[in-house]
This record gives sequence, structure tokens and C-alpha cells, in this order.
Amino acid sequence: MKVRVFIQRLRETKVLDLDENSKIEDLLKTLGISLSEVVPVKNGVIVTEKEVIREEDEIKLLSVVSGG
Amino acid sequence: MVCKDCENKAVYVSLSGKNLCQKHFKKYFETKVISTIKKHGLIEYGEKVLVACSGGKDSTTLLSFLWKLMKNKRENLAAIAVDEGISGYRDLKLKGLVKFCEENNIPLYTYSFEENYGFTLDEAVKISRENRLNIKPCYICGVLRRNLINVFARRLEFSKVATGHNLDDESQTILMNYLRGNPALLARLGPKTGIISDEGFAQRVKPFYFCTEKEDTIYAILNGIEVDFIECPYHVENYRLEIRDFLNRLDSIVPGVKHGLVNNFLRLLPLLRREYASQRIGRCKICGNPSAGEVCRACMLRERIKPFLEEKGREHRDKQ
Repeated sequence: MKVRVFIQRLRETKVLDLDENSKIEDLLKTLGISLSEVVPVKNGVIVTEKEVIREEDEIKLLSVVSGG
Repeated sequence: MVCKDCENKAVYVSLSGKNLCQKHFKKYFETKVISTIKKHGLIEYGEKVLVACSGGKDSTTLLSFLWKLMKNKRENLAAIAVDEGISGYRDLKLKGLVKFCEENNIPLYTYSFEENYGFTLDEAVKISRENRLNIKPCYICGVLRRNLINVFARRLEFSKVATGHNLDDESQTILMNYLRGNPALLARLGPKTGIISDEGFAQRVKPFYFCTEKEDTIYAILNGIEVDFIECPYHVENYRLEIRDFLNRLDSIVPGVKHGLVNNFLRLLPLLRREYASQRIGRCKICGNPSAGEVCRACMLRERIKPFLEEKGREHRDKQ
């Protein structure tokens, strides 16, 4: 399935090809992002790394680290 | 995945594996911060506290937290901000802070490098680069900002300066100082900084000391505090950034390394402080502020930059 992910730190949206029933933690692994660096938001709500993703979901990875 | 204490959906999994919903996450975070304040004697009843704010989420969240916590003693709380003069960065960050303080009716004191030292950080960095002084922007910024905050905290009669430093910040600083072989600087860390008390120092305290950066970001979002991502233009020249990414990578392989680093450091801290407690604190012969050497670091820096300002026909200020 194709999933659109907005990565706040890069200020860009990426489209990823993930397996059905992938979780946020799988998505982070694909992107090479550490769990402690982002707050995952699915359809406007903060979720944990165990959250399952569907194709139509809107995912945002908010940056935990401050910029300076 | 549901919360361990109710049927609501979890937003966070703690290091010990507890799933927490929005409400129970807030409770978990607040309990941890209040316990840090009490256990380490960070803020005593009736004490005047100045929150050092950058306009970023950590310090704004701390300000909001303490404003709620000190609801019966609000006259004892205020915010201080320093405008270093980083074009396109600090001006934007401070706009958000001014708005937040106005909306919540929190007194905010703002001081600038330009007004107090006669140059902006942008100018100091340019001078350092053009004349190969090899002074890192983060060093100039850190030393001069801490100096202004300390001077004005004392002048405004605040005994404590609270900063938004969290467990991630502390674990990075500990590792940086270990790797640099700098035990004297390590001895100054901890939830309550400083080895020697001196009337010229406003003690710095860190209520978010045991909270990870991820936890304080979630707490900020759940409390409606804006979490932006504007990067400081000098951030790329920062050694801390390398250490931060290294620790985050390590933490994803071995969860809890940052907690381990900080907790083990706290066991060693009393020994380090005993070792360095005999260091004498005198007065800087230029500005009169507390200093371990004859001249404090802030004055040393300003003395290095001053001749180049005069070359450009600029006036070097000493208003603080």
C-alpha cells in the first residue's frame, strides 16, 4: 500500500510503499528515523509506535528535537 | 492499543512499557516534574523564579507548567528572554513567546546582545570568521546569553532561574563533557546547577530534568503550545547535534541508554562536586561578576571581539 507521510523536520511529504497492516514503527524503520526523535500523528491524533496504518491515513511525524 | 488505566486510546508508551492515554500521560508527566522539584529542592515555597525562555517549545512548556503550578504565588514568576540577534530565527521565535506571555498575562523581560554588548551574534560570528578567531557561534551565544540572564536575574531579585533542559539535553551534555575530558564542567550539571553558592549567581534549576524531549513535546502538543521547527542557522556547526543523533540511534537499539547515562552520572555527581568544591570563586576584574579566573568568559569573549568592532567604527557597549 502507498502511504503519504509528512516529515516536519525535512518539511516534506514522502510517499512510501509499505506492507498491509504495517505499524508506525515499521514506517520509522523504513525512513531510518529513531522513535525518540518524533511524535507520530495519525489523522490529527497522537498515536504510539504500535498503531496500524491504512492506505488512506494521513501521517505526520512531528519533530521532537528543537531547532537550536 | 488502550491506556493501562482506562479504555481510552494510548498516545505514549513509557520506558517501563506503560501505555498511556492523553489524560493519564498528562498526569504521568506532571507527577514526574513535581516529584523532581520536591525531591531535588528546585523551588521552595515563596521563592522568586525567573524562567529562561528561548521561544522554543521546551521553555514555553516549562513557563506554562510553572504558571499553573504557582497559581497561588504568581507574583513570584516571570519570564526572561535574550535576543542574541540571529536574523530570521530568534526574532521569529520571540514573536511567539511575546504572544504567549501577553495571552497569559505573564511578565516578560527581554534583553538584547545589541543593546547590552554593542553587537549582535550575527556580527560576532562574522567577525570571528573573517578574522579567523575560530570561536564557535554556539560558544559565543551560550556564554553571553548565560551572562545576561544571570546579571538580570540578580538585578531583578530572582533567586532561581528555571530552564527547560530535559533528559535528552542533560545526557548530551554529560557525554560531551566526558568525551572532552572535562570533569570540572560535569560537576556543575545536575537538576540544580553549581558547586559553590555565591551571591552573584542566580541558581539554575531544571524541573524537566527526568522528562525526555519526546515527553515534553507530547505534553506541549496536548496543552496547545505551538511546536514549530525553525532551525537556528548556526545549528549545523554544532558538536551537540552529532552527539544527539548518536544517542538517539543508540536509544532505538538499546532503549533507556539516555536514562542510564543520566542516572549513573547522578550517582557520581556528589563525588565530583566534593572534588571541585574547593575551587574559589572570585570577581571578574572587568565586570565584577563572579568568575573562577581573573576575567570571566563573557568579558574574555568581548575583549576578543572589541578591536574588530572599533575597526569598523562601531561602539563596544558595556551596559550590563
